[in-house]
Amino acid sequence: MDNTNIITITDLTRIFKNKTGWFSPTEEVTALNNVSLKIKRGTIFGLLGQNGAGKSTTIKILTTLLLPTSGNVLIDDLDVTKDYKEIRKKINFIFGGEQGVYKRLTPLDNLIYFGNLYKVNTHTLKKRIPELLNQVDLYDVKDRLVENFSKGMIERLQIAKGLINSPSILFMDEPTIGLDALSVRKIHGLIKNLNDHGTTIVLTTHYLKEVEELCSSVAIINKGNLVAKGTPDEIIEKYATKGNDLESAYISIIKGDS
Amino acid sequence: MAFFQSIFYNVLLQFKMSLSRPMYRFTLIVSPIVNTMLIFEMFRKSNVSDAANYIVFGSGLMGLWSSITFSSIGDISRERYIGTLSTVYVAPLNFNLTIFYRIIGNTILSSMAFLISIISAHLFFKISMPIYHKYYFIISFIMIIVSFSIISMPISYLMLISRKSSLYMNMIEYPIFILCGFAFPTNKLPALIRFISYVLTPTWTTKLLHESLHKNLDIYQINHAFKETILLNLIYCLFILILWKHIDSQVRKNATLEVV
Repeated sequence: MDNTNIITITDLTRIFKNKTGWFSPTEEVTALNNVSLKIKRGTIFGLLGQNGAGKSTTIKILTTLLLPTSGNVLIDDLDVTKDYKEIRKKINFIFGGEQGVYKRLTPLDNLIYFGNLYKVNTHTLKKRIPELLNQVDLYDVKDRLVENFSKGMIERLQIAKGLINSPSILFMDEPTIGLDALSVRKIHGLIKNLNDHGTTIVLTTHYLKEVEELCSSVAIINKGNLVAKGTPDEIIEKYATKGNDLESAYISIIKGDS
Repeated sequence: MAFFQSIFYNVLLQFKMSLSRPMYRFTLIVSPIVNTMLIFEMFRKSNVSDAANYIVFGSGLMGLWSSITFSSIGDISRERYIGTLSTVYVAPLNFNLTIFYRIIGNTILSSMAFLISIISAHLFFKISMPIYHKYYFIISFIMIIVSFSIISMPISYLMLISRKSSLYMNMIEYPIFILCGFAFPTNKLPALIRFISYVLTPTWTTKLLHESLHKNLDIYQINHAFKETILLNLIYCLFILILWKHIDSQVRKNATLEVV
């Protein structure tokens, strides 16, 4: 495996300025505070944290949806602030839940549309779309409207959508949220398969078992600060107090930090 | 070739997406019929000389404005709620092109609204409009489509930086009908607000359309409306270029692509 860093985050800070009314003062919320991280190429990286910890903000900055307030973020040696157009060609992202696809279209139409948005040429699309639909087990329902799909099917369609441009990095924000056990197993299988084929995956989740099963390295963010990083084993060894698992280590980190 | 394929698929899917929405179908089909009836009632006892033009084409213009502008702008708001706006925005295909393709799709579909209002005026009120100068009429119609498309671009951009876009979207629909003279002549408006009408291209394209329908053409008036339309469109295009640079950075600074 290539041991170089595909993502390098240095002193990343993101401050949101919120205004509740025209005459109310502006309130500043620090979503990320001097976060520094390195993610190796070809790995599955897990980003953990409580609700509002700063995971999604990190993902949004990495996917060029948001600008950092300060700090430096490099993706494949490209700066997210300046080189965002180049970065967008190399990445893709999936946000968990039932959003992010056109429910009144079929999976086939969704993938054609997103393929066009990602400038994948028609010849490649004709070959790639059936492959992707087969990979996510949706080929047989390719002409059904997405609004009739279950949560698990929508999530699998999201994965197909995320792979439409064969990205080097796939960002997944809580991809298994609200799914049943069988669907989760299917999604995990897909994630492992993608990673085996060389895609770097950055994953945020609340499910610690998922991280233990999938991720080779992990970072834990709490209240915008990076509080732990390493392999799941390293984190368990260093922080677990009661059980010998990530959940115990995670709770001890979050409690210790509050 | 790839460019045209991209336009084709985008426009085709825009058709599918728009037509799948009951509200769009209502705007496209039912609205022009209702508007024709309303404008007919408005003019029934009036002494406006070209009342028939307003009855036949007024509702067509209203339908066209609602479908092209309202729907293209509405797409931004809808996509924000269904969570696709962020993907559409950061995809490698230029966001301006995406908006432009959608406007093309909506434009083609919305021409149907125009046709429906002509048919309903004929069916319900036996009003037909003879087109004496077909080339002038066609040019006017093309100018309407181009102008409506251009004006909807900056409005779409503004919808990107605010999460209250659906509120603004509803706010701009009816004032444009009134300010731009779709349903009655702009000289009926109070003088104080007429200057707003003069800086909106639909005012001039509507005037162009009405002038092109007269049996005896007033070339001076046609030239004047044509020049104003071109000038305002150029100013809008310049504004679009300047606005886009600002909007692009504001969107990434303020995180307005998603619902909180």
